Amino acid sequence: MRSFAALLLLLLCVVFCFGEAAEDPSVYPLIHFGQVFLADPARLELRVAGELSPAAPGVAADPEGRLWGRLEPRYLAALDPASGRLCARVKLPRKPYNHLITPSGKAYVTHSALTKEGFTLSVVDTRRKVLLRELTGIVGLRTDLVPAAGFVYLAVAGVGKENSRHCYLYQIDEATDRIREALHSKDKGFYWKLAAAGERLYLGWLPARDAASSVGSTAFGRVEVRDARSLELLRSWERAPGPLRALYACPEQVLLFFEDQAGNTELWVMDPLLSAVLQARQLAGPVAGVLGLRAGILTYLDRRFETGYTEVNLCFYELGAGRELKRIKLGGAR
Amino acid sequence: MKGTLAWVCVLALLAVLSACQPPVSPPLDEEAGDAEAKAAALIGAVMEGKATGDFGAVETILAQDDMQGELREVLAEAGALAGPTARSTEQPVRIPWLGTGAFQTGDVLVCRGSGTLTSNLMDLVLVNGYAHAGIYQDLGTGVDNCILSADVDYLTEGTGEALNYESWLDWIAKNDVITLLRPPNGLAATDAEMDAVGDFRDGHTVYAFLGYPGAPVGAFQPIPRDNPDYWYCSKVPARVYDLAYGVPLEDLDFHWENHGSGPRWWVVRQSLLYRVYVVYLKLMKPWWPLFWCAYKADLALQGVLAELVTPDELRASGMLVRQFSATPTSDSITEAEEAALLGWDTYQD
Repeated sequence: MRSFAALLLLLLCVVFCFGEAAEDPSVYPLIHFGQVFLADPARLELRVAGELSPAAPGVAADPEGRLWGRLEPRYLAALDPASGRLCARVKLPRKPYNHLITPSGKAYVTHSALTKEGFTLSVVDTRRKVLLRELTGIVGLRTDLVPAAGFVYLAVAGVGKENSRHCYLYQIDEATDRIREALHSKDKGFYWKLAAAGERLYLGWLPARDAASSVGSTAFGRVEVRDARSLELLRSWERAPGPLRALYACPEQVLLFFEDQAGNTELWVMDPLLSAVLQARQLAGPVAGVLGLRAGILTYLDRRFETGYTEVNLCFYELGAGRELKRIKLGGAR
Repeated sequence: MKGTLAWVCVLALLAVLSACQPPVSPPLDEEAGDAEAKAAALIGAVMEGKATGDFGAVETILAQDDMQGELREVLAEAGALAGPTARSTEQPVRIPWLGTGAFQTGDVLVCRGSGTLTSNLMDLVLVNGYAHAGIYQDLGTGVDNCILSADVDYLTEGTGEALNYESWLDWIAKNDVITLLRPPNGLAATDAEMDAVGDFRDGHTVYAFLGYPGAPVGAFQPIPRDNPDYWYCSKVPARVYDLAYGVPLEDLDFHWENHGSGPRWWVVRQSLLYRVYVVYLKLMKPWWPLFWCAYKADLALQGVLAELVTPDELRASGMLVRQFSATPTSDSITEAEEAALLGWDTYQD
């Protein structure tokens, strides 16, 4: 009986440890001109975690909590957030641009070099710290990259005589790393941003230029809800009150961000099938990217262009109460 | 008889002396031996060292070729035996974000930054001025990588990836000054010319500035403007505007102004590339007078620079109008401040 209890305890420990590793971390990694930060919505804090390339547009955490990002001249490198030191690096076939890491520890890295095989994407195993393969045949430059239901979705804007600014969606099977073109639109007025939650993929049509149309105009953008495996269209939503600037999805709700005429952001919290607006909120300033929504606190970045430099702020916003909790300036000039 | 003999001796002596005296110019049909290849290999090794931090290949070459230490001295003076120096500032250059509408398709950007490989390469070759160039294409607000250019990549190992789209972040985070150049209204290159250059990816593109792969840099072989495989940064906007206008953007005599008597040529002759080549000529042809070596190097470099287009030539083009120059501390500096920052005072009389 005692040995059974010990075994049970051991099993619980194992489950707990793996569970902790596999869960989303409680902090969001971000990078600003090479300085890597961890944003903590529970403590409303931002702390420095180390340094990577100043030209890196993003960082992502692997299941062990290491923070991966671009390192010159062409590495994907990992920081140990505890020590702030580089703890791994993987040489890539080309200069990396941006990437995501799936819960299984695979990193999908986009490149922007023009090659005979089109644009390419590298797949890296962050656990073994090795390059697995380079996927080819991509016809444009990345506009978004998200994981959903065992797939990775890559949205690109076409480059080239035949398909300039066309929208493409590629589906990459995470198990086999096979890539296929899943959707294509010749509409040059929009580019695609993605969000995913559970079995749903949200395809946002964002205006590629400043839209000056009237309220409710389709030029402000629209959102398609699709099955994340088959890409079957479940619903198309087209009632944007202003230019659609960002979207974010979690299992219970979808957040759509629209720019208003004063340059601030109107946030609509909607149900997963976009059939009803659950909440509407006003956010000060533009939303450049959403880091996440946890325990009712929305964490996002805003970016303003002020007389010659770009100011970036990290914002913690309490969604239920509709109030900004804290704003931390990352600064255009550090 | 004695007088006749004396005259014969004098004439014979004169004949011997005249045979020993070198002609005023080197025998141009005589090969420079391995000097060009060796200079190319050394510059290539320096760039690889700057890319990787491993200068082992440089040391190997010096151990073989530099018994007198002359090459090492030249390299040390140029700062070529250490990795890229850090940027003079940690702050980004204050140019507008690409999504603000401040840029138009066909805008040419030139920049200089102490920390980039391209800048280091251009430092070694041209000493002063702008070090990198690209051309903006409006691909919509969703795409951050909108600056078509070509980049040095010493790790490619021949597979090629010279043509690439660079991001706003690539430019503002790594440079010390950026200048935006724009053709007069209505004359900007269009998507058609940009896409035509982008479609050269049908073959692998390879970075080459002063030579072809195998002798990556400094082989003194000019890269033809219309060659679809070999690219360097400033060739990209130059080629786009070749297609748009049908005539070159730049002044072909930019570096060789006044038949080489101008200050720009004097600056080029201070470059590491030139000096390494001259040292190798001296080592390979020890019987050549120094001025022969310099003359040979002048001719080689003139031939290359006449075909190449440098970022400075784009900056000086009469067909492009300067919109602004920005630094990490100012979103708009004057032309005089820009010239001082880039060392253009040495170009002035």
